Amino acid sequence: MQELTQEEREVYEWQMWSPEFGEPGQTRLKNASVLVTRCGGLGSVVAYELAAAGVGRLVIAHGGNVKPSDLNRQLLMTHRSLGTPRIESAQRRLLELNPRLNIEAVPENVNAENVTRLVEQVDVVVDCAPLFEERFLLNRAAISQNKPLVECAMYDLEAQITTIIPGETPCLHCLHPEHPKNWRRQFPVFGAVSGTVGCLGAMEAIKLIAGIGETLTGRLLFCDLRQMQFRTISLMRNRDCQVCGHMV
Amino acid sequence: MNVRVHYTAQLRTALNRTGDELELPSAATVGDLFDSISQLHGEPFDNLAKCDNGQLHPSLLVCIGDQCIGQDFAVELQTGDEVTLLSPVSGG
Repeated sequence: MQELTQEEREVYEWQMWSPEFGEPGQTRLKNASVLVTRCGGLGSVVAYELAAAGVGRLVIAHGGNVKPSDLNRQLLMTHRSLGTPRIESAQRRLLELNPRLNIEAVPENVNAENVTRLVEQVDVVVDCAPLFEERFLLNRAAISQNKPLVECAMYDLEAQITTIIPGETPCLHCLHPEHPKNWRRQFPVFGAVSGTVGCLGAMEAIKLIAGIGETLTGRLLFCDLRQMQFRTISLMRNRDCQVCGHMV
Repeated sequence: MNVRVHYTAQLRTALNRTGDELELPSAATVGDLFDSISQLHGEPFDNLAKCDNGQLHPSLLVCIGDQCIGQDFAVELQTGDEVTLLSPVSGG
């Protein structure tokens, strides 16, 4: 395991004051790797917070070019990067924040061909993808490779977040065994909502890696930012789940 | 008995309301509650929440209080229960 440098001790000084975290926790972050897909409204903030916290290696996957409608929430994209690949803007911004970061920047979204390789090279997966097809692929790969998966999602001023531990908690397929009916891929949302969920998702990943606190395992945090109400809902595994039902 | 139901996300948008307070017969089940909601709101609810066979679509998460009940819609409700229909949401 790589030890911290003196520069890193100075950069991460304030978070290393956190009880139970300290230099051992920071060292775990430095030696950890996280997949964030995609780097849109949610994933931008997840990746940025993980880069700021000193996670050693990030694998980020995001296809397409920056569009004007990205800019209200995708904080790794800038006006100057309009029309250029999103992944390039994301990588540049993350390295501006943390030049020590080791990044694999993949200029495509998760698909059936790349999902196994993307998941197998990291310790933790954070799913910020908009399409249920991508999310189901990630869930299946994370379960089969026994990797923790943080699920971040939002709509309008609402958010849902949970952390999946294969064989211990419900997986995404337990919660949503089928693709939602008449589900619309585009939806209303503020950047402040995706930012809120992104920070929560990043904190879940940090806690998983550092082994501190209580994660949202077996629980779903539902946030209603319109009413400023937060609820934690207990989830149930589906013993007949086609993806994780065999892991009893 | 009186049951309060809360709608979220796309379901809340489609119904243009955050919830309903419904009067149900005693020993009514979660499935009975869905039938009442369907009768009350019709197509906007059915389009998102019902399968072709009339059952609740399995992608919706159903909670009584702060406990998700999975796909067991035969659960009997109690007066004063608060049921939340968590409509599926995603990243973006």
